[in-house]
This record gives sequence, C-alpha cells and structure tokens, in this order.
Amino acid sequence: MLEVHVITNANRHLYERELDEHHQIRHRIYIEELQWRGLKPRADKREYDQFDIAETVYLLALEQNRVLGGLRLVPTTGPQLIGDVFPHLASMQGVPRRPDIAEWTRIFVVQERREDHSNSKIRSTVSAAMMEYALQEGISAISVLMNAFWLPKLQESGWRTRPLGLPDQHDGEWLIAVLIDVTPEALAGLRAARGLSQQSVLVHRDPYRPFIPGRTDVPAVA
Amino acid sequence: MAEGMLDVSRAAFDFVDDIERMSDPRLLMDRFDRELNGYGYHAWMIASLPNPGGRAGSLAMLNGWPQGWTDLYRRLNLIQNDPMVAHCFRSTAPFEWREAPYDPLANPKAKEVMDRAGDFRMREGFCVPVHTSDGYEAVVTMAGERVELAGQVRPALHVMALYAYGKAVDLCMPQRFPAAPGVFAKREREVLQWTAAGKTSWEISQILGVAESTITAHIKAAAAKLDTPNRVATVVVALRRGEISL
Repeated sequence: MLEVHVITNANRHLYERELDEHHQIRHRIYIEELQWRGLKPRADKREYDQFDIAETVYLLALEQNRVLGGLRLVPTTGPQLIGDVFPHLASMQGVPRRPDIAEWTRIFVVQERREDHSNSKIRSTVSAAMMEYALQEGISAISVLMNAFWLPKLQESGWRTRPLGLPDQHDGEWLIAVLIDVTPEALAGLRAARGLSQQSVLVHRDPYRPFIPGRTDVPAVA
Repeated sequence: MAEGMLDVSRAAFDFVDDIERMSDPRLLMDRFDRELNGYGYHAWMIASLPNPGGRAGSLAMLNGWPQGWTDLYRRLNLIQNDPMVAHCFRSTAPFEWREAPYDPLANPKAKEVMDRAGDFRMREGFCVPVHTSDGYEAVVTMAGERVELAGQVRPALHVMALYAYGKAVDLCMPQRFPAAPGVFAKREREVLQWTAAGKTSWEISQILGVAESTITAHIKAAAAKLDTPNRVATVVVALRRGEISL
C-alpha cells in the first residue's frame, strides 16, 4: 500500500532513515542522472541544497518502508528557488512571498518505478497528496518553477495556474514559474484524470506542526 | 526597445488573463487569432496529433488555418509527410520551422508539404509541442509569411500557446471524469472509429449498410456517454481513453 507521509520539523525524528534514503535518491537523480548544473557530486552521495531547512516539509511516498517518490515544500516567506535564484522568471507578477503560499520543488520518482510518458502513478499520487496537504493546511497557492513541458499536464488535470513571468531558457530547457491555485476541484480533478482513488493516502504522524506558523484551526485528522 | 519588450510581455499576460474567463471557443479563437496576427501569424491550429500513419482532419481542437489549406491537408493526408509534425514527436521544446530541418532530397514528400504550405502564405512558423499525460501528442502551431520572433516575442508566443492549449482542452473536453472503460456499444465504437478516420456519416452509412440517421444516432449516443459537445470532441476523448485507435 502506497502512503504519502508528511514530514515536518516536528516529526522528522520518526523518519531519519527515510529522509536519508530520499537524499541518496536525490543524489542519484539530480546529480548522477540529470546532472543539473549547479549541483556538485558529493562524497557522501546525498543531495542537499539551501532549501533543505527546518521549515521544509517533505512528502514522501513510502511502500513497505522504501522511498518510491516525493517532493518538498517551503514557505515562500523564507529562502526559495524562484525568489533567490530565478527572480527574472517572476518579473511580471512578482515573486510570491506569503505565509499561505508554498513553493514546490524536487518532485521525483525512483528510476525503477517510472512509467511511459513520464507521468507515473507514483508521480500523480504524490502530486495529489501535495494538493490534499495544501488544502488541509490552509495553503492558498503553490508556486513552482518547472520545464514548461509540464504545464499542459497540470492543466489537463484541471489545475488552474497563472504564470509569474515569461518562460526563459536555462541549460537548454524552457523554464516557467507559475502559481497553482489550491482547490478541492484540483484534487478531485487530478484523482479522476489519473485514475487515483478518491481516498486519502496522506499519513501525518504526531507531533504535528502547521505549515503556516501560528495557524490554530488544526485539521481534524492530523 | 526595453519598453517594446515590456509591451510584448504585458500583451501575453493580458491574453492569459482574458481567456481564463472564456466559455465560448469562438471567443478564444478570435482572441488568439488577433494576438497572433500582430506578430505576422495568420494561420494557426491547436490539434491532437494522431500516432504516425493516422489522419489529422478530425483531431483539430481549434482550427485557425485557411479553409483551403485545411481541405487540402485532409484530402491529401499531408500529415503523414509533414516534417513539422514529425519534429513534434521528437521535441519537447518549442521550435521554429527553420530549426526543424529535413532533407528535401531524401524526403521530397516533406518538401512538397512545405511548398504547398507556402502557397497558402505559410512560409515560416513556430510550433509548441504538447505531450499529454495520456501519452498523446498535441501541438499549437502558427505560421505566416514574415513572422516576428525576436526578443520576448518567442517566450510570449510560447506562454500564450500553452494557455490557449489548456483552455482549448477545457472547452472541447469539459468532461474530465473518465467513464468506465468499454463504455461504448460495439456499433458506437465502430462508427467512432470510422469518424476518426475522416469519414462522414453518409460515408459510414454506406460502409456499414445502414441509414445515415442511424449513424448520426450512434454518434449522438457516444457523445452523450462522454458528455462531449460535438463529434470532434467525442472522437478526441474516445481516442484519449483508448476506446478507439488510429
């Protein structure tokens, strides 16, 4: 059974092994496989960057304790990829910086579980879990920098997006920064479009920490 | 110059904002047409691409091509040799026609497609390939005689094309919730299959030896099952769901 676990600064101690495995997977994918410029191979074979901080929330897809996929979210009020590295990609609408806007980076699926057309079940499951988590946490929008190639896939799932700036070429890829509306329709639409169950696969182990600091209306099912 | 670039960006963002609220594909077509005309593109299309070997005609979501070119393209099945369509299957990035070279000597049929396009004042063009979640390919293609792509124009066209595509999917395929597989009766599937191959209801009625009204009824029944507004949308959705194939 595939579950997507919410890992915050408050319950991180329960997931030390899984988080470490996830950093190793990221090293394999982003440094060895994709060879992203700006990321240097590391002796410990684990990939970290300036956005792996205390406030970062990881959503990891686990099956029998193995990490199969995941992504991370950071509050846009702190360090963020678009604002700190690619602000020119948000030149039209400005860099989002609000407690209720999260920035999404590093979505991945382990090599052996990918499918054709680059949009595997695991990727869809993790994306749906992100939308569900955002709804629970009162996040109103999610900013993301991506290859423009992904945009139609989001749109086809009924996800509403607004561009923050014009696309720009970087390392041979056309990148675009967009803001995704967080809505129940987006969650239902993705599940329907990708044939996912309408049931939640989110697991949130105590202790709980809200994404928006000081938010009091804690979800009934934490 | 800097001010001109800002104008281009602003126009693209206004376009994205404007079409967000639209519910009529004709308004989207008019708006897109107007925007592209400003950069010299008088012909454009938003289309699902059949797998190599298939026919194009029925797969246009929004068609801004000259009527004569659409007719010719369908009649001669030019899609089979269209080098720009071939390049869409190879590229995830947008490209200018001139960036998708082909060898006219080795591939005279491709040259013929491009020459005939030239007859319709489509000499230069820009394609934004779209790869859907279901593994289908689509494209937003635009062409003209002398076109503008300098500075911010290219990214502006890119973003407008992506959002026009998203809106076209919205308007042409409103039913997102997939029906159970095998939703069609055998005859409905058969009729859709012929429709996807470019046959009219009358032609299908001749092939199957039944009344034309029966064929129309089958198509209507299929459209009702998919909640699609018309024949084209029904074929596109049926293709995407794998109910029929090309």
